[in-house]
Amino acid sequence: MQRAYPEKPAQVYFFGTCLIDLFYPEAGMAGIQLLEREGVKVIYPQQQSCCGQPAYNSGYDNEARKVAAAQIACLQGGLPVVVPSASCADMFRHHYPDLFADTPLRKQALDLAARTYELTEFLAHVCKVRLVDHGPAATVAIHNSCSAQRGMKTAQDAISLLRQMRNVAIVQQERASECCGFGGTFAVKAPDISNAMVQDKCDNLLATGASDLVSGDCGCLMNISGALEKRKETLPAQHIASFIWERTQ
Amino acid sequence: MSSREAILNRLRTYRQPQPSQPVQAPASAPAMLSVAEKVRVFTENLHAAHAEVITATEENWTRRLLSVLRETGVHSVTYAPNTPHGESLKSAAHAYPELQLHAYENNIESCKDALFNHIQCGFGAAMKGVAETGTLMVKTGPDEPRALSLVPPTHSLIIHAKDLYADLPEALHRTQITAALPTNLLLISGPSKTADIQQTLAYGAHGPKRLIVVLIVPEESDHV
Amino acid sequence: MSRFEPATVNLEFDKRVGDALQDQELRANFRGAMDFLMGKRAAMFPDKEGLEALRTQGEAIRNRCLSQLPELLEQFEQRCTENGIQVHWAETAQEANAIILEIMHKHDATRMVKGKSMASEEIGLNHFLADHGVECLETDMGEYIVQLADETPSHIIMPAIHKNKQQIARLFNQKIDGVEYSENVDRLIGIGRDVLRQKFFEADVGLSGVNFAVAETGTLCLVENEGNGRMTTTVPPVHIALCGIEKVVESLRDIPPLLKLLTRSATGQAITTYFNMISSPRKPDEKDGPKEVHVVLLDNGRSRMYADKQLQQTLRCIRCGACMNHCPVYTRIGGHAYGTTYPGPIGQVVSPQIWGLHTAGSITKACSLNGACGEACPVKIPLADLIRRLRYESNNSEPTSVPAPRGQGALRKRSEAVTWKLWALLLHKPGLYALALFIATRLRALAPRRIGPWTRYRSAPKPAARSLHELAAQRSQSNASSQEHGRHE
Repeated sequence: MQRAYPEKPAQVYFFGTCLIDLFYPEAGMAGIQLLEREGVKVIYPQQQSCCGQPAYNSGYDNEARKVAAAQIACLQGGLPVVVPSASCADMFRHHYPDLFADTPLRKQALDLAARTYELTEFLAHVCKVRLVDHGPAATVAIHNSCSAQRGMKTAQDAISLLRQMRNVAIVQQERASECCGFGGTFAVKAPDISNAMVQDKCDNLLATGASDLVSGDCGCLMNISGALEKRKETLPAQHIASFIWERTQ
Repeated sequence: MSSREAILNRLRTYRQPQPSQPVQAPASAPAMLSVAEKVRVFTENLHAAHAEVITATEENWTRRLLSVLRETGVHSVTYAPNTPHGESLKSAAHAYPELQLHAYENNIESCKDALFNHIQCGFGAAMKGVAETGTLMVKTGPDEPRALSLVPPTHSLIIHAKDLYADLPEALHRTQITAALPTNLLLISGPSKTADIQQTLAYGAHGPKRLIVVLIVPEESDHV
Repeated sequence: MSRFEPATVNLEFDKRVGDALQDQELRANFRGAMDFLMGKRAAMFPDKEGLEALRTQGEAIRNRCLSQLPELLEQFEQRCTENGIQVHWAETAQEANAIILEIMHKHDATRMVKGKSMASEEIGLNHFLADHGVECLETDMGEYIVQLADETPSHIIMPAIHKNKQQIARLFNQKIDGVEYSENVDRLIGIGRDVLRQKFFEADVGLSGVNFAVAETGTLCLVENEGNGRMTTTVPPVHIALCGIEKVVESLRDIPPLLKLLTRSATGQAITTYFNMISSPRKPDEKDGPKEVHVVLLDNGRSRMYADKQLQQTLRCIRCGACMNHCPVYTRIGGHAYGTTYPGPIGQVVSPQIWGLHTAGSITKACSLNGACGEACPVKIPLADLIRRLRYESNNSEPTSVPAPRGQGALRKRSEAVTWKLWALLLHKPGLYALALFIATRLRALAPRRIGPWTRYRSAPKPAARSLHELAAQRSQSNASSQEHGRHE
């Protein structure tokens, strides 16, 4: 069942995610600029840090809750929250209600969950963007994160945005829906399994002959492009926000 | 405290309140199929499951079945005596002198060796069929020993087109069967098979390698 | 690994995983098999909405039955008894084994044939009986292959899925007298058939599992393709069914949707060759069938799972194996690496709850929480959520109001706990976090080139020159000043 989307709001909060904050800030900026170009004023609360998912997925609920509570605190006020990562958006939307189920923050967690949107989802359904592609011809392989596919169910939104780009051809990869092996701390706690997964993912992506790799999640990007780099393969990888912003100015 | 009480006590103590969750049947209502459609779907599915189907009438089924058995080298058949289909087979068998018919009259203990090592075919009846999956419902009992459909390498059984149902829920519930279940109620949907070696399908894993279904249709639809 | 020893699950886990990942033949066998099974399942559910409706129905049926579990068990027991089936209750694996051995002794029985039963693997029945002089032969082709190789099943539906036909051909050639090497699958199956028919013929007792136990009628339901389940429950004079207490359903009406979900999810079949509903031993006027039928109702940790609202969902499982078929980790390491009777996602949820987190909790780390398992599950068990919960319970030592999973807190590591405490401290205090960001970006040239296991296979990510925090702050300042500027003009 598709989620009901509101009219385009005047303002939103932008939750940048910790990975983008430190490693891919240009993706965050691209997301902010894409939103502002649609006439949506973006507020970036400076108190934000991390959604808490790394601790949560590792089974450290108390620590996750502590960090999560800080995000709830700085994202109050009823504005929609746009997140350039399905994984972190999924944490807000589906895991905060569980994490705070029996706590005084329960209501606020539910409230935040209800107004959280993944970036491509927000651009496609709320802003209803129309993209004009000025970039060179590109063949693009998309990697949709597991959270985009199964948690937020926004995988189609990334595809639909790229389909609007006239000079972009999307190529199909084998086993596109399979996990890249990132899984947050999984990559460190089960490194050999994670490696087996990311190597297969790299093989499948390279086999497409794509000129670019695009994903809506920087965790997956960091994993895949890190493995490609180690293999000395060149497949430029970008967050979808950066990719779209660069080509549509 | 016995294990029984210990288990039940724990379950009672920690039972979770269930949110009332109405069980919605899937939107697709059972298809209302005509007999001819049921015959078609049923036959297609049986063929897909590697079964053989002999479509015949009340008058000619014995002749057709016995010819198929003779042509495929089946010379010994066991059947349940005192059943209409068993008696029909017995009286028709006179015309096939090379065929040995064995009435399944005694307990398995006294005929186990013959059943396991000599008899080539068990012949019985299905009480119902399910078109959607090509399934035969067999009610075991005094007139339908279980081994008939299990031990010999070929299993043949008779079913009437009027006893075909669209799907399993209909077959189970449109009848009184659920009120008094037989010792063994079997759903059979093809010959025995396995894919346990490298996903390669092989027939006759433990049960019959061949399943021959004699489907009795009304005279006028003989051409189905 | 010839014998299932739960005590070793945690200890050797990383080594088993490493070995499995190095074994290219094993990797190819699993990849091929999982691709095949996923394809078969997908072909059976062409209509997404129909599948969702059926899954919702399956989930609701299982939830309803679980909510009435104590009453349904009592009703099942009563109906069985009326039908002449003898019912036994076993709280533990040891108790179940003892009950089964006692039945064997009562009949002076020394030869048992087994239909496929994962519950019997769970309780280590084969080895227990062997220690007591009972020959216990697996008759499912896959189980037979695995037993012949002195291994355990690597998959709950297809036990020998880790082997290819060349390996099986070698095995038969080495282990069965007078069998020549042949890769012809029909011939291999024929050999198994001949060996096992003789065993069915001679057996004193047949032991099976149970797919569904119907309370309304006192009926045991068995799902299979080969006919070995029917042989096991028809030919020997005594039939023993081993049945987890969660298998009980309310009525026959519950069966068709569950059966449909089970066979389609498991092997992509609309229905299996045989669906066998057993409601009594042989009656006086009947010519065959066992003269005695016993059901052993097995708890072995299930009532403990039942106590927890979230973990209770484990008990919805109908053992189709779809979760493992869709699991990218299982696909790569195979079933044996887990070291538990039940591998894959459901195994990661069931095993630590049966054998305790101190014994089998480590296997929960072999999961990227990608959710492919829960998406495939026919009864919508949120497997990733439950795996995550068990990770929490492995670290957690706070007391709970209901019985906690066994071994709660057993995997807590001080160093790890301290790391996460520091992490939380850093990230919940905006000032500290901003400082850390500042340092990381300004000292990016000094960023480590090696970060533990991450850089074993990947290059290290490099901090950006300016964090998004800084860039966003600059942007909002310049926006504000240009607005200010605009106002003055």
